[in-house]
Amino acid sequence: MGSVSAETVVEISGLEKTFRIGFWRKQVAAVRHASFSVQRGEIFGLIGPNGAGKTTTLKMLMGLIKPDAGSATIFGIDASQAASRAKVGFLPETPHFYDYLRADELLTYFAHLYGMDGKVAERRIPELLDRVGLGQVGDKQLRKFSKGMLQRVGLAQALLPDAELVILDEPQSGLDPMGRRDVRQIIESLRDEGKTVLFSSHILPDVEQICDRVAMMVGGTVRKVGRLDELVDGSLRDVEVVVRGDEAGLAGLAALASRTTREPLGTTRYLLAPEASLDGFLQAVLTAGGSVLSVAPHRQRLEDIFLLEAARKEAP
Amino acid sequence: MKTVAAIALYSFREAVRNKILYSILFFAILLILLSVVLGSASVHQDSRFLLDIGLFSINLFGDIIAIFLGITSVFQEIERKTLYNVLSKPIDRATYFLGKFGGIAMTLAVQLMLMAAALSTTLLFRGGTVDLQLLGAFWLTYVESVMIASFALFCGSFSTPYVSGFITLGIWLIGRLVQELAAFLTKVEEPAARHLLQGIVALAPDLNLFTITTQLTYGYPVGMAYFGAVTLYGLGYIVVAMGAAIFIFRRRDFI
Ligand SMILES: Nc1ncnc2c1ncn2[C@@H]1O[C@H](COP(=O)(O)OP(=O)(O)OP(=O)(O)O)[C@@H](O)[C@H]1O
Ligand SMILES: [Mg+2]
Repeated sequence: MGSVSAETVVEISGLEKTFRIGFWRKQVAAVRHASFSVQRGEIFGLIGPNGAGKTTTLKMLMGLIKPDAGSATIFGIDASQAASRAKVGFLPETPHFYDYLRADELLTYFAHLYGMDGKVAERRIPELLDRVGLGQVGDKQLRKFSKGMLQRVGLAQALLPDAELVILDEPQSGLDPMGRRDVRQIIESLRDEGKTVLFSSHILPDVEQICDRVAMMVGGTVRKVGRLDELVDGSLRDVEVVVRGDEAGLAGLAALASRTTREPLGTTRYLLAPEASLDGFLQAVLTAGGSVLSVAPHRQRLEDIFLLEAARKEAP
Repeated sequence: MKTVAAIALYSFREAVRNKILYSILFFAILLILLSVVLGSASVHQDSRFLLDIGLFSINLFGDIIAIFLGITSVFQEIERKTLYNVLSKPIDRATYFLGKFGGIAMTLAVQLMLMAAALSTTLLFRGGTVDLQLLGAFWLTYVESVMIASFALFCGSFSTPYVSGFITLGIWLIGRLVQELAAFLTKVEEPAARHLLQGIVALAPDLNLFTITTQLTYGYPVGMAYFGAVTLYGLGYIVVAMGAAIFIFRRRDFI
């Protein structure tokens, strides 16, 4: 992990947005008082269940939606100013493009919008298409692209301006396992280049693997923000022991475990609380005439925190 | 400015791929050709009749295309969500909107040139003449259609295509009938209603100013000053409509 200087790249403070939908203007509070900030050089993950307000927050940051209250700034410039996006690449959730263009034509158009030098764009575009795995598409129109291929085009255009800050809304959605790995590698290489990355994702193992810091949104509020090692302490959650033996003989063991599951092939799966004595349990298995097939410790993961927070109705 | 041009060029590219435009264009040219057949029935008035019908169709179909482009071009980008990828670039929404307008103005220019070329060729074949006056008539038709497009863009900045189509059509009708409506409204008894309706009619552009068919068919020359004044008149409406449209568009949420 590179050293993180204390320069704030993204500052979101007290952001609120209520949508009024349908004929009756029914109110939906999408984001309520969300605040967090992203420092230069950070890989920052935004996680939360469906409808938590991640996309709405990112759209306010990109100036696509006006906040009802609060502010969103990039490099200290308010998101309502076009200048705030000068050094920003953005991938929207499920991107849509002009389907009659080819990938390189689309990128050329966007290069114009970024005010990029024509020569620079001409050199950079084929490189980028290669980098996102679209080097071989040739002169196919975007209408003939699969969902994952479009997602890759979206990634390419987010990387186009060689931006200081890259914002990605679910960059891995719709991608195959190779694509997911590519995205991981792209984000990691952005980190190596000293870029700042803010992305939302539902793929928690990846978030755990690549993020420096994480914000977790539930119901429009930011429930937790912090370094991964602050949020997830990696403490022992429970130990899983799989045992083979006849049912009657093992009957007494259930009392020692926090959960017992009989499995079809004559094995039994026990979950032991972290404070329970593993030695004592294994001893008891042998005494009961069973044989131990496997012992696996389960450590706390981001997913555990996620499920816990998502289930909690309101922040304390 | 370069960005406005890029956006205009790409929207132009998108518009010329539209099949609906080609069918409108097809009907316009069909009508011009048909007027030749109809015109030959009234032997000596041949080219006068042709000019009359021809200019009328160019005007009508130009305005139809203008309304169509004005209400769909931005709406389509919102609907198809291609807008997110454009507005998230470091461009102001005004730049985007002006680019879209530029694209429409370019598309209209090409469409009108095609129709004008069809009419001019037919005229020449039937022994008529193509002079500066006729080119001036084409020009005013163009200015009118761009103005109509700016009204449609304005309506589209806050309503759906159907609603803005109806509003623009309403403006178009009032603009065509300005003189008749003004005369008719003096007969409205209720003073409050009369003032309101007269106000609306006074605000609407007089579209008859853009049509010089009568002068052309009867050979009254139209001066440069007239072309200049009407162009400025149209430009004034375009500036106001676009200003208001951009004002609204900048405040919108794209959710
Ligand atoms: N176009 C819209 N119109 C009305 N309400 C919307 C719209 N888009 C989102 N919302 C509401 O705003 C809230 C937040 O949605 P948002 O898309 O920001 O969630 P998200 O965290 O990105 O979810 P996901 O993980 O599914 O992408 C939801 O309650 C949703 O119903
Ligand atoms: Mg989302």
